[in-house]
Amino acid sequence: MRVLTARRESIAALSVVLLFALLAVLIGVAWFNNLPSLLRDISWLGIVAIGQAVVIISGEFDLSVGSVYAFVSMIFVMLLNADIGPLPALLLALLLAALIGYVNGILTWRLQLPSLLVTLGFLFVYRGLVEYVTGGYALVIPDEIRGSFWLQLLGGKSLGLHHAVPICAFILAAFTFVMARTRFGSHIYAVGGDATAALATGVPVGWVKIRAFMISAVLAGFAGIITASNLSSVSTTTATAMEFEAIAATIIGGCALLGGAGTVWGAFLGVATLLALKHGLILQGINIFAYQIVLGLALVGLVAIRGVFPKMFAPH
Amino acid sequence: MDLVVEMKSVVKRFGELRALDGVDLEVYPGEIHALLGDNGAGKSTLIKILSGVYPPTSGEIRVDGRPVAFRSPRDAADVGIGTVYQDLALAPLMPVSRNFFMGRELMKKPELFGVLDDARMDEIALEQMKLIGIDIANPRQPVGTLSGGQRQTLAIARAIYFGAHVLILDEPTSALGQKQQMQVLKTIMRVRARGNIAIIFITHNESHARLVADRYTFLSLGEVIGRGTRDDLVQKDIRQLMAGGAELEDLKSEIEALAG
Amino acid sequence: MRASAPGRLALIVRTRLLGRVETGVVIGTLLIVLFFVASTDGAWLNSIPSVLRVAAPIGVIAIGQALLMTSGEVDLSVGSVFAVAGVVFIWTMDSLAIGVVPSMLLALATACAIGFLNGVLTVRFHVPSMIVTLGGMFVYRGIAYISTQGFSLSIPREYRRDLVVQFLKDRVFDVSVTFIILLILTAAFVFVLARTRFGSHVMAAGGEPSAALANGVPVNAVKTKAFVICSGLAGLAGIMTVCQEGSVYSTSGVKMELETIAAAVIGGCTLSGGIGSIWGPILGVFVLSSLKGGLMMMGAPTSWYIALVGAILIGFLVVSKLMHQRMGLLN
Repeated sequence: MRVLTARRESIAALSVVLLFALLAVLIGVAWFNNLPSLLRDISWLGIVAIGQAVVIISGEFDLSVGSVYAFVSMIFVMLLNADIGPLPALLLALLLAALIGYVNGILTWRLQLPSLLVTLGFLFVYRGLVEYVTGGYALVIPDEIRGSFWLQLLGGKSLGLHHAVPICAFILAAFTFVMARTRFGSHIYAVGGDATAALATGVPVGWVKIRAFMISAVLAGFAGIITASNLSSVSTTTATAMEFEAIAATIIGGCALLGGAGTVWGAFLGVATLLALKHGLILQGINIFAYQIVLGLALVGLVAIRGVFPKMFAPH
Repeated sequence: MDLVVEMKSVVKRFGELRALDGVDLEVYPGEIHALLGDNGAGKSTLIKILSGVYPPTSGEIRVDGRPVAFRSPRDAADVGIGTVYQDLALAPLMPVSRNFFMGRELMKKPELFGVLDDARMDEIALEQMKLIGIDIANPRQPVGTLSGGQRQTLAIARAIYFGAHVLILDEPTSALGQKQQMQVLKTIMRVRARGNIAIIFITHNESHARLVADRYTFLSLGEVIGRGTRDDLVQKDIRQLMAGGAELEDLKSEIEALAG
Repeated sequence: MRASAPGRLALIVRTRLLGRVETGVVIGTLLIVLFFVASTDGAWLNSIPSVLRVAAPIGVIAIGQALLMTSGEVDLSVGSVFAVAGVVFIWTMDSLAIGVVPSMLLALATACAIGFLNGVLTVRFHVPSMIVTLGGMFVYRGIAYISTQGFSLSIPREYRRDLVVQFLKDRVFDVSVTFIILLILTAAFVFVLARTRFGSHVMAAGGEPSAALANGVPVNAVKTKAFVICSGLAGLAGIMTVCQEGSVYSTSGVKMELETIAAAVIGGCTLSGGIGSIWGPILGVFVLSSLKGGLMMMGAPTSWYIALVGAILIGFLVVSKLMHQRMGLLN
């Protein structure tokens, strides 16, 4: 029991193992045939959740990730259509994402505004822009560049495995290392745990938070770009409500809502839990909308477990 | 003279730690009793026992001659012990009079609707604060706009109004500037002048104790190491007691050496 | 920060006029009215009745959101509760056939029960209200999707001519009944927040929960009541809308949680609580709704509205922060 509750990620880890086992038994062959697309979806949302986890651990929120995901990938597709070449388009789009994150961070830190509200505002702004440009339709990548090296690298498939999966694995490994082993990572935890103490001991609190927002926006934008490379299009409703899914996954994965504790791989396990549920329900032929209900119950239920058994989950 | 509060050989243990080791305390009506001691001497443990936050491990407590066993801060308040903690339990964004009556609001009849009687609350709050020396122009101004001394006065006036005849003040001067400290000491003297309220004044500043206290009790490492009346207080070198005599001398010479 | 004699007048101006939490939204309302009147040569004024009709249900929810935010919590599930109340209302009329008013009461009771659950999960099990209501948002939206099968449910034919339904659809002198209900509720809750013990406890629970507890304010009960009121009002808004439009859609109320939070913040509420207003957020709703209506009149696509809501929210936050820093009011 001790082993189970000793880590904040244990609930999500256990859920993933049980769900994969249960669904494999229940669904059988179809479950295994579906694994490539499940892993691809987990990778897309997983990259976003890694960024969200960094921001949440630093004691802030980023509600704009869904809109940034759609907005940055839309700009990427527009740049491809302007024929500037895939690599420049990728770099420019990522630069834009970094700028978006910088603005989130600077408003939150310089003016001491609640990040929840700042990023809520930008959720509307970028979504409005996406709706304005796409006008309710989809924007597509021109046929002739779909096969180009960079688009294949980001959105293609080798040996039945979507490239998104190793990309996400690499990002996950990199950020696990950054958060656990670098000075920046330890600053993120310090800033989220007690910003006043961190400031007093000389941690550049503002700059740490701004970088956290930049990471979140760049990862959200990048996830959007590899999604667009895979699907060759961006539409008006791309990634609506993704911010809520990403936050839910992060919290299920054991990050403290008010910052200072948690891991990026916990957030990733949260994503795996949610998407395994989603794909399982679809494969079982259960109403797709039931996913929303299950997602909500899972979020509140898994978090409430700590409240119901406070002794078991007391910090060790 | 009958004692208002009498504590006899009170012991409080937290696991292995003996926070209080047989402490006696005698508080007389209408007097200011200074509870002195360095950090960690057991002052706050003592007042938390007296205000019902936790029970003593052993020992006896009498209030107005009757033995008491508090199970909650409510019980202590019911026998007239009012505690003003350092955080003062005030909501800075709310008006003075709403803070004065927080949790015990006055309502217009019929009370069923819960409609507040703001006019009366304003009037009483102003009057009570004036009684101990603070004249605030506007009872609707947010507490956040008051000075530290004024906030302290508000909290003290509130405790008295709601029936405290033993007032425990937890380090009321510690977080304030010089001028504000004097204002709080004046307030304390005005409360004393009313004659019917005993004050237990917790402080580690012996010059403040000298200025206002009628009696004192000295704590060190959970034990009483000195007690007496105002006259004793003036004569003894309290500073010596406070830091444990010899240690202070050593410290003095060390500092001099460093200043060299 | 005590006022010297000459500084006193300035202090009064600052605290009584500029220092009010609603100052920003009042200025914003005036600006937006002036802008639309000027840019449409007064034609915009004719659209006010329809703006008010659109604003009514969002306003009713904003009252609850503002009260709850003042108590230091937030409700992300209002949009979904709005839809579910409509679903329950129509479903009970259809399947239980117990008449319009009992169906309404049942729908309201459902909404209040949801609020109670939100409150209990938050105060008893210490799940942050953002998480509880985020979960609730998914769950109730899912229920709305499944029960409408992804489309809509309509009031059964035999009830469409019902007096109560007609009444809620009606207008008095060109003003919709639902807007009159909003005005009455606004007046009632302005009074509750400013003049009653419950209102005072809401402020205390949000502002300084530890001080409130130390003085015997039942913080948990106060917050739970605020949750019940918030969900109840969301349910009421859902019922009002169903009577007006005759149907509830699977997407009814989507993003309403964000709109009401934005309106509440523009109107002077904060995420941390302890300070708040009821009529400020209602003006905030009016600003957002007239923006929507005005942009539509000027032929702009709805995407402009979405983007502008965000821009207004951020602009408001920045300006009011700078104003407060300049004037040094309350930190």
